[in-house]
Amino acid sequence: MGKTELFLKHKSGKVLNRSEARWGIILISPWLIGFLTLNLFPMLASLFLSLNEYNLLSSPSFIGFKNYIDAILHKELFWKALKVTGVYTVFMVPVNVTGSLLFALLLNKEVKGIKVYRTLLFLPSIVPLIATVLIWWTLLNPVYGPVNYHLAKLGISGPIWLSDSSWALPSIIFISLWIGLGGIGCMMFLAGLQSIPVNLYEVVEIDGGNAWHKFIHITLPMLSPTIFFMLVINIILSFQNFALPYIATQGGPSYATFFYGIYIYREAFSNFRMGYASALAWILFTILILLTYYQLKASKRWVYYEGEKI
Amino acid sequence: MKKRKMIVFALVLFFLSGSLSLIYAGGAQEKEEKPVTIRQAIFVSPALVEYNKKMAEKFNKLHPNITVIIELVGFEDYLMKMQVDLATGTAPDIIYINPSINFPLVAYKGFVLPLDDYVKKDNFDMSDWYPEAVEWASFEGKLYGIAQEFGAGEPALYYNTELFDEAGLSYPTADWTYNDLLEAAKKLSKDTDNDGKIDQYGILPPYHRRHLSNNTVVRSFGGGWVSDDGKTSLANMPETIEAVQFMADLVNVYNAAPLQPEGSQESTFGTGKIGMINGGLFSQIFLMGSKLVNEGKLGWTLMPKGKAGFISGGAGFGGNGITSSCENPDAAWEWIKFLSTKENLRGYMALGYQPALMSLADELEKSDSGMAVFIDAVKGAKPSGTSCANLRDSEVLELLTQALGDVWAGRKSAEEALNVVHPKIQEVLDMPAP
Amino acid sequence: MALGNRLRSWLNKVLVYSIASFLVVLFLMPVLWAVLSSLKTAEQFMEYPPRFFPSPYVWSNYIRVWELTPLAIYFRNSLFIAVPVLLGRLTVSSLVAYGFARFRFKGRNFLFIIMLSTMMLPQVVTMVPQFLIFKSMGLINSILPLVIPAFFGVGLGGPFTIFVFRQFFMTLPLDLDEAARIDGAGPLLIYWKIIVPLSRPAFAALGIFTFFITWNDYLGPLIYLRTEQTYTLPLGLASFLYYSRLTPSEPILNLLMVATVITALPVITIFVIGQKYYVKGMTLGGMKG
Repeated sequence: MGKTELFLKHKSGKVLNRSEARWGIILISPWLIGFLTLNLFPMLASLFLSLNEYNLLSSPSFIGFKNYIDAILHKELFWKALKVTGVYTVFMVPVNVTGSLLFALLLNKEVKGIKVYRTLLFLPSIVPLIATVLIWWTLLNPVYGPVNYHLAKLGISGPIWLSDSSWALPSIIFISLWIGLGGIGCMMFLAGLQSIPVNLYEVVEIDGGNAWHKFIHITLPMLSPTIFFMLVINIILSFQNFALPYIATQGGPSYATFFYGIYIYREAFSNFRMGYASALAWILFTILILLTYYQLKASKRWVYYEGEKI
Repeated sequence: MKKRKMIVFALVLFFLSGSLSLIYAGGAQEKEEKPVTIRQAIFVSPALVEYNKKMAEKFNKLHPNITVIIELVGFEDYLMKMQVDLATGTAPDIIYINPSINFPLVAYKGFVLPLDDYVKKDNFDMSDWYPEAVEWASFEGKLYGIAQEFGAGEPALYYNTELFDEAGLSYPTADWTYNDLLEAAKKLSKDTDNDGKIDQYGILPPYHRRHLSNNTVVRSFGGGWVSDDGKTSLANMPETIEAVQFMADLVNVYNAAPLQPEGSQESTFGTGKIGMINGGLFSQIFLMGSKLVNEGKLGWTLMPKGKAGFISGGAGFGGNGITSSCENPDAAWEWIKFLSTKENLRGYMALGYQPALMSLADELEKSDSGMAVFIDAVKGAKPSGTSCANLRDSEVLELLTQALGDVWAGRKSAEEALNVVHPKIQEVLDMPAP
Repeated sequence: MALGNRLRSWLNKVLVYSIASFLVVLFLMPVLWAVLSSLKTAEQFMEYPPRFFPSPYVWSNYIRVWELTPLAIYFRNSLFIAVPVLLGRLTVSSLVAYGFARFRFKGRNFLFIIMLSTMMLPQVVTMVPQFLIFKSMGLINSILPLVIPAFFGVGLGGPFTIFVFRQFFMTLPLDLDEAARIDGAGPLLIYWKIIVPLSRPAFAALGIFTFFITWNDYLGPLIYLRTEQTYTLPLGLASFLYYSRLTPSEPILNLLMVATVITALPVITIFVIGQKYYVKGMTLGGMKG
C-alpha cells in the first residue's frame, strides 16, 4: 500500500483501512487500559451488588431484582427524588446552556479589558461550595438577609427561600445558575467561538450579510458540536446533582430538594443499603445512557462537523 | 530544531511530573516501619490533634516500642469514611465511638473488640465513670469503648441579657415553664426600625435536624419520637403533636420566632437580634467572638420544665474503641489506658469537653465556670430521641426532619404532618437491623 | 458611511461594557462579600444589619489561618497532585480524543459510548470497589490513586475532557491533515503540528477545567489520604473549618472566608494563564506550511 492510499478519505465509511484502524486503537489504548483496569471492575461490582442485599459491613446476599422492583413499584421516595431531579434538569439544562452561550458571546467581543470581565465572571464558579452555601445562606436569610431587605424596600415581602418547600428548589436552581453561568461552560463556548476561523465570517461580509446572518450561518453551525456536548454533559451533571443541595438544604424542607443523588448517598451510607443504592445508581445509568444515545442519534441531524469521518 | 527541543522538554516534564508523584508517594508510606504502630483516627479540631500528638509523645517515652499515629477525619465525613475503611479492611486500630456517629452499630457488626478481658486483667477501675457512660458504651453485656467525655445534648436555654433588660423582663431560670417562655418570647419580639416588619425575635426554637434528635422540648412536653426501647413510634402522640405545634406557633402564630436555615442558629443569635436559643455546651464555641460574648451579654440556664418536668435528651459519650482488624490490640489497649488516666482526662477536659469521670465533673462544677447547668443536665438525661432498636436512627431522623419542614413554614399543622409520618417511622422501626 | 460605522462600533462598545459591567456587579457582589468578610472580625461577621466593608480591616486573619494549619504542606500536596494530573490529563485525553475523532476502526462508536457511560454511574457506588483495586496495588495513603487515572484517560473529569477534545477536533477540516500527509507527515506529527496548534482554546479551557476540579476535589483525597502530612488544601482546610467549631478554639466563619480566598488563588492564576491561549483570529488558509 502506498502512503497516499493509506489515508484516503472514505465517504462511504465501508472500507476500513488497516493502518488507520491500527493507529486509532493505539491512540485510544491508554484509555482502554484505564477502563479495563480501573473502571470495569467497579462498574460490574456495583451491578452485581445491585442484585444483593448489602450494607458494606457484612457480606452481600443475593436477592435478584428485588431492589429494582422495590424502587420502582414500592418506594414513594424514588419517584419523588426522580421528580425533583427531573424538574431541576428541565429548567437547568436549557437555561444554563443558553445562558452560558450568551455570556460567551458577550465575552467574545474584542474590547479592551474583556479578559478582566471574563475573570471576574468566572469567579463564582471557583468559590468552594461550603463558602458558596454560607454566602447564600446569609444573602437569602429571610429575616436578616440583604436580599429580602432590598425587596422590602421595593414593597415586596420576600419569601423564606431555602426554608420553604415551594421556594427551596427555585433557590437551588438560582444558586446553581449563579455558580455556573460564567463558569466552565461559558469557557467551553468561548473556546468554541475562538476556534471558528475568521475567514468564514469574511465570506458572509463579502456577500453583504449582517451580524445576524453571521450568527445564523456561521456561528451556530460551527458551534453546534460545542452546543451538543454542553447538552449531553449538562443533562448528565444535572441528574447527578448532589453536593449543593446536600450542603444547603439536606434535601429538605419536606423533600423539596431531595435530589436523586442525595437519595443514593443516603441509602448507601446513612441507611446501610449499598445494594439498593447500587440499584438506584444503575437505574440512573440506564436513563442517562438512553438519553445520551438518543441525543447522539439526533445530533446527526443538527450537529455540523467540519472534519467528520463517518 | 527548536521544535524538537520543545517536544523533548515537554516529554521530560511529562514523565518527571509522573515520577515525582511516585517518589513523593513512596516517602509518605515509609514512615510506618517501626516495631509496633498504632493508628488512631479522631475527628474534630486541630486542638485535639495537637493534644493527642503531645500525649503520643509522652506515651512513647513510657513505651518506646509503640508509636501512635494520629489520623484526622472531619466530623461530617467520619461515618462515611469509617464505613469505606471497614468495608475494605483498611480501618485504623483505634476509632472514635459515639452514639450519634456509629455506636452500637460497630459493636453489632463485630468491628470493635470487647474490652472486658483487658479491664479484668488490669483491674482497670471504672467506678469513677458515669454509670451511663459505661452502660451506653456496652452492647449485649460487653464493653466496647472507654469514654473520654460524657454530656447531655442540648439542655441549655441561652439568653441575651441586653434584650431582657431593655424589655424589663427578669432573666429565665430553671423554674420556668413553657408558658413563661412563650410570654417572654412574645414580649421580646419587636419591630425596632418601624418598617412594619418584626426584626427582633424572642426565640429561635429548636426545630432543626440537629435539635430534633435531642428533642428536649418534645420530651419535656411528655411526648417523644421513638419509645425508650426503640421499637415503637411515638410521633402521633398528642403530647408530641402539642410540642411540635408549640414551636411552629412561635413562628407562625405569635411572630415570636424567625425561620432560619440549619447551621446558622448560633450565628443568628450572636447578632444580638434574638432573645433566646436552645443549645448545648458546644453552642458557646459557635458563639465565640460574637458581639454577645464580647460584651458579656450571654446568660444561660436549663430549658424550662414542661408537663413531664425537665428532661434532657441526646446525652451521650465519646470514647475510644479498638477495631477488630487491629494487629496489636495489647498495644492499643495500653494507649487507651494511658489516655484514660484521671490526669490525662483532666487535660482533655481542659479542651472544653464535659468529663466522663464524676470526680472531674465535681471539680468542674465547683470551679464556677458556668458549667453547673450542663453537669446538672446529665442527671436523668436520656439518649438521643431517635435511638432505634434496629440501629436505623438516621433514617428515622431524616423522615422526621423532612416531614416537619412544612410545619415550621406554616404550610401544614403538626397533627397533619406527624400523622402522615408516624406509620412511615413505624415501618422503619419494624425493619431488621442492617 | 465611515462616520456611521464608527458610531456603530462606538455604540457597540458601550453596549458590551454596560452589559458586562451590570453582570459583573450582579455576579460579583457575593464574591466580594466573601473576600471582604475574610478581613472582618468575628463580631463584625455576625453583626446586623450587615455592613459590606470591614472596619477595621483585620489582615491578621490570614496570619491566623497560617498559624492554625500547616498551610504550606497542604499547598505543596495539592500542587503535587494537580500539576501531574493537569499534564497527564491534557496529553492523554487529547491523544485518545484524536483517536476517536480522526481514525476509523471497528467498534469505535461503541467504545465511545462506553467511554461516555463511565460518567453516568455515580461515584458513591463505585467508590468501594475502586478503593479495593488501589488497595490491591498497595497504593493507599499515597497520592497515586489520585494521579494515575489521569495518565489513562479515566478518573475525575477524564471522559469529559476526551469528549470535549473530540468535539473540537471534529470541527477541524480534514483537508489540513491530508495536505500534511501528502508532505509525508505521520499521525503523531499531524497531531502535534496541526491538531494541537489549532485547538489551543480547547486546551486552555480544559486545562483550566482539569486544574480546577482536581484542586477542589474533596472525595478522592478524603478516601485515599490518611495522614495529615499528605492532606490537600480542601481536605486539610475542611477538617480545620468544620471541626474547630466543636472545640474551644476561636471564631471560625471569617477564617473560613480566608481559607476560601487562599484556595481560590491558584485557580485564578491558572485561569489568567489559560486565557493567554484564547487567541482569536486563526485563519485556516495559512496553515499548510
